[in-house]
Amino acid sequence: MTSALTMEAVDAVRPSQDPIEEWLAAARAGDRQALESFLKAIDQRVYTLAWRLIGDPALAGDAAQESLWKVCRSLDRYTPGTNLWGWIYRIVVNQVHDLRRSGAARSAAASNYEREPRVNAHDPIRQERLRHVMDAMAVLTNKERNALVMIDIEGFSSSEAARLLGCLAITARTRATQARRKVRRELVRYYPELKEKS
Amino acid sequence: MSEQRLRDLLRITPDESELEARASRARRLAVSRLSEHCLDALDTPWWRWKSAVALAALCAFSVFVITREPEATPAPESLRVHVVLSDGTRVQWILHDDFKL
Repeated sequence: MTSALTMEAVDAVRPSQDPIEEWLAAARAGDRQALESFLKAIDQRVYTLAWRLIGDPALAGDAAQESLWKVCRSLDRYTPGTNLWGWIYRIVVNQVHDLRRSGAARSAAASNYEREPRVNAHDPIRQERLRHVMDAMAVLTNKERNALVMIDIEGFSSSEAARLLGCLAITARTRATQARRKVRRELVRYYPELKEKS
Repeated sequence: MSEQRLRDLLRITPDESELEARASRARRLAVSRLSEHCLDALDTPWWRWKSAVALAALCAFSVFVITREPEATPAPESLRVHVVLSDGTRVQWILHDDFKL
């Protein structure tokens, strides 16, 4: 997965004959097989973004499903040649926002991650780190979490993140900084190397 | 250094197999919803078309019923007139359709 890339970087690393763009073009023309290939190419990034923004696997699955469905229904609204991932991410962010507003996400605590059956939990160290990170991110407000995910995790610039989140670049940057500070404070008890040198 | 370590930690994801399973499930559900939507879209025009035809037929029938001329009442064959005079005399005229008394 190439999650930690800026929009420009995503465009830069994308080969000229990107099959995703081709599938998308064919899907817009009504090719059902191309549509399925397109969805298959984007589903993991869509799910991962939803999971990072929500923190709950089941709700992230719902958000990913709804986002993919909306992508299918709004293929005509995408302007070929513009930032494809920016368009997809905006749909996911809006979907997560709607989910939070509906209250479904509020009822799901970070500890849900523990109750969720693991599809494959053969790596206990990874699972433990995952739990630490999820617990640490659970202390953030939704806005802080969005900014942290977009800037620090997905690697967007402040202005790109601001466009996706519908706020000013300085606001996105400030929220990400606050979020980083809070998360660090939570994680430092497990990872002393995160302690900032004064 | 600690900034990079923090970012590395934050970028952790569930197992690839778990991600794949959950993402595939979301995609399959979206695709099946799309199929249902396409079937609905195919069905809907027929449904609407039939309703529109039924409504049009009903309107046409209503217009026909309202505007058609009432059937002509058959002319009476005769008209009977009974008159009782003040002296108690009773008179009965029968007016036939040929206006003959």
